[in-house]
Amino acid sequence: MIKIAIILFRECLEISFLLGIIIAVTKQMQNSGIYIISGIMLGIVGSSFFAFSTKFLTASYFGLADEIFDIVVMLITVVMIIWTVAWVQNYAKRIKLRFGNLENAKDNDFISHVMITILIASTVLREGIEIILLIYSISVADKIYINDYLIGGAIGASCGFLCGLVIYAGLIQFESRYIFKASSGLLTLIAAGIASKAAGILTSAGFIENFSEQLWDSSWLISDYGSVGKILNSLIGYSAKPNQMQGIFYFSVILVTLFLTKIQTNPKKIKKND
Amino acid sequence: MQKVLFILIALFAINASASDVINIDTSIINHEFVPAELKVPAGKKIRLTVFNKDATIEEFESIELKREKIIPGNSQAVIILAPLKPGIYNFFGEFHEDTAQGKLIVEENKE
Repeated sequence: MIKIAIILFRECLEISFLLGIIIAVTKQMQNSGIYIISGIMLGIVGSSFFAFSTKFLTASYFGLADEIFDIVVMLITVVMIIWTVAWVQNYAKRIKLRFGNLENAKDNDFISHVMITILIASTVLREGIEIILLIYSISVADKIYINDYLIGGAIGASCGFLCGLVIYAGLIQFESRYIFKASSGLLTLIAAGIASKAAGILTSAGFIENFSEQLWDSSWLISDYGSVGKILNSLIGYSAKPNQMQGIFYFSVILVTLFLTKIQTNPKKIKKND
Repeated sequence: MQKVLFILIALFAINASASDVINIDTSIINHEFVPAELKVPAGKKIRLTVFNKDATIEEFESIELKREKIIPGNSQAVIILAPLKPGIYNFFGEFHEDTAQGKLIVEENKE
């Protein structure tokens, strides 16, 4: 089944690309590997749990349970990304001042490593639930077609992860500081996109009534329905017709991240203090 | 704690105007929306119920409405929409985009 292959390819590519960026940005942190893997496993377990409780949640909370859940996970992800981007700026310098060298930080910097785990877990959670429900529904489909679905799904998923891996491998060929700056910038835009998506749901469902007027219409430039528009949408949250609240969320995330980054890279702060 | 309170209040606010809600529904049958065109008046809260009569899972998605929702097979989902401006809002089933297409037509309120 080509359709299933394409859908799973898209979802898996998105996850692995996002994970690749996060890994690239946190490369300086020693031992981040363990925390990244636990984050992934936590995300998978969480996705499985929430995927199967979907059936019971949907009916309650006046039909808004799914939306509330999505918004909460999205906002947690946004906060985690902002924290991570600000935290890794000048990481090596700061850690050397505090702990003497990066090796010591391995055992002492627990909190920041846990934050990475939470970030990865919430990132995996967002797409994971959809993927698991999709795979589950395959097993319920007609026996005649199961092989088609399974093969299509497996091919799609592995191609997606492979592509993500290839992109990551390609990215790290470049010089460290370019990778670092580029992934920090991209992560910021990704967070802004997620925040803007959350704002879209908040206004669409009526949680927020103000500032829901359309800001602009750029469909003449990049349409929401074309390939470029769709890619930009999953990457940095591009929308041809964003509303005011989406704009506010989007630019607030960028501003807050820039501000926090500026604080972290302020020469005065880098000086050793008691 | 404050966040939880805010959410609860928001929920009550939405439910408070229950009498002013337009209820509409559509079904997914053989990967198509039946009916595919839904008409509602502008300026009123909408409660859209989507019945997935197929055994396969579907994801109701609309770029214009800025919403998406997974609907497991043989199940239904409710989508609450804040009052809309007149216009045509397209929606589709993400897993069967070629056949699952629909429109929400919001008309001027003639009252």
